[in-house]
Amino acid sequence: MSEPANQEAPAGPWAIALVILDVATLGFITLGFEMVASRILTPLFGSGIYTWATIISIVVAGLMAGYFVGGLLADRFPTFTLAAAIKLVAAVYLAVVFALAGDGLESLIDRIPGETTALFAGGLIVCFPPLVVLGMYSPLSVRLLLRRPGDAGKISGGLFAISCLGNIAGILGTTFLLIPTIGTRAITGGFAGFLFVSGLVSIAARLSQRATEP
Amino acid sequence: MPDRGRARSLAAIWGSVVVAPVATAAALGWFLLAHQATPSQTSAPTPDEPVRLTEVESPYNDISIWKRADGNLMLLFGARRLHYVESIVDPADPLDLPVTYTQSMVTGALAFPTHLDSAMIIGLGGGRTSWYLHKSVPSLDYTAVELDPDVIRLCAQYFGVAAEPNFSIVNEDGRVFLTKIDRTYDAILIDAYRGPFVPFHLLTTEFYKLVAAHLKPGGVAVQNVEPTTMLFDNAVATIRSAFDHLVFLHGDGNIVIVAYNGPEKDEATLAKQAAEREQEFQLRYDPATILQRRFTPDWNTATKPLTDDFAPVEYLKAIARHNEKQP
Repeated sequence: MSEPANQEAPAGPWAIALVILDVATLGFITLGFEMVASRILTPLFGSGIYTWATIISIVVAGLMAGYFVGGLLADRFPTFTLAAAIKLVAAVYLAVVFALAGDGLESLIDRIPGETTALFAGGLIVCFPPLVVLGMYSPLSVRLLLRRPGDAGKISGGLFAISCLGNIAGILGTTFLLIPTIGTRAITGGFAGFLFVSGLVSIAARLSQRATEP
Repeated sequence: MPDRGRARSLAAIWGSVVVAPVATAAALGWFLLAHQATPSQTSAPTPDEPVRLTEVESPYNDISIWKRADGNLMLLFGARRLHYVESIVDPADPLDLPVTYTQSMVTGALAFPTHLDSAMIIGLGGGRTSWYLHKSVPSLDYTAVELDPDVIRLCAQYFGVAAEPNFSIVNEDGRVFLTKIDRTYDAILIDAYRGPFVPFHLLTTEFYKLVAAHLKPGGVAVQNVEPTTMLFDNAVATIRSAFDHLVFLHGDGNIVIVAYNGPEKDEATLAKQAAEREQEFQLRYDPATILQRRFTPDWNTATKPLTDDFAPVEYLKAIARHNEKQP
């Protein structure tokens, strides 16, 4: 049985390069931000194993929701417009975390009764929304590059591998380089700024695609 | 021919999915067998080899308790390759403080506060400092805050340090504990290490301001600091950011910092308080003698305090401090 006819123009080299760069950098920010979240939450809840378990579970829950929702949206809007929206929303939320990381989060947490509830609420406020949004990019990245079902394995496998490489660089770079040099809030602000600029690049890519579409 | 290509692909997939993990597991198994751990020691102690009494994997540490040939017990954190002696305990003499810096710690808590009604410590460890203060000054309302529940359990089981009237133990993070309570203390001692590191949230300006807010007028904070790395300068700068006065006592490798706000405690006041308390409580370690350990260390006064936002404790700890000077 022959494969379905190609409905879309093949992704150009610039589009491929942009998606690969996005997957790597968003992978960096995703787990780099997990390390940052631990530094934001530890002064409030201590350095116990429960704090870490909360952070990791909420990060994975955020990614889970992001993959699911991102997959649905990617089929509906398989364009760089969605990529831009993902990055800009993540940028805005990280800017909120940047603002909260002062005293705002502490006064917010103080209003929540119960230690465990407050811990989960703190984790949800800091980690969940940005991870949902960042997680949405993974299925979209596959959708942006996939043209033939026969390529699904190598495209998805390759993108997931690049994303994991970004994850590793994010954990190590944030822990060994960024936290000792610029501090927690500056990293959060930097991630927000980068995502904002990256979102603008995605908008430019979409406009450029439209201009060349027949 | 396509069938042959398909067969090759299947062979490659099975090769990578089945053979690679099996080969990895076999190599790992060989490595573990070839480097098998030495069995735990159960024979009588020899002069060179302490006997391990127990080993516990707690939520936070690998904890072991050892008995030395001289009869003293050791509390160790960490595994065989990398371990840290947290405490040395003479089971026959609960007031013995074999580790020198703990003598400076208790002197900080006994000679400096204006009053001596209540005290707390963050980091119970082997309980030496806490038990000495509790047994020497029975009227002192004392609270030990310890994060690791297994440290609390082993401390009671092997070192006899357990809750009793005027001595309570709280299983909680020290900073979280302080944020929850309204009461104040005459002395707050801080000796919380996880192996070589102070958890970063216990070494920031915000934390020390919290400590200062929980001190009574005339009360003091007493902190154990390890001076060989860049972290020392940052620790001093950070404590300085929350307290008006810092006094340094050496402790055989460690430095004990006594910090307080309000009027400076002059020489006459300290000498009077030390003498009065020595007379009243018949202290094993004479505060007046240990006060002679005071000194002024070299530290880089341009160093910035650590904050909740910027406290690269692990990084600073990894850099050796130059021109370290201790008497």
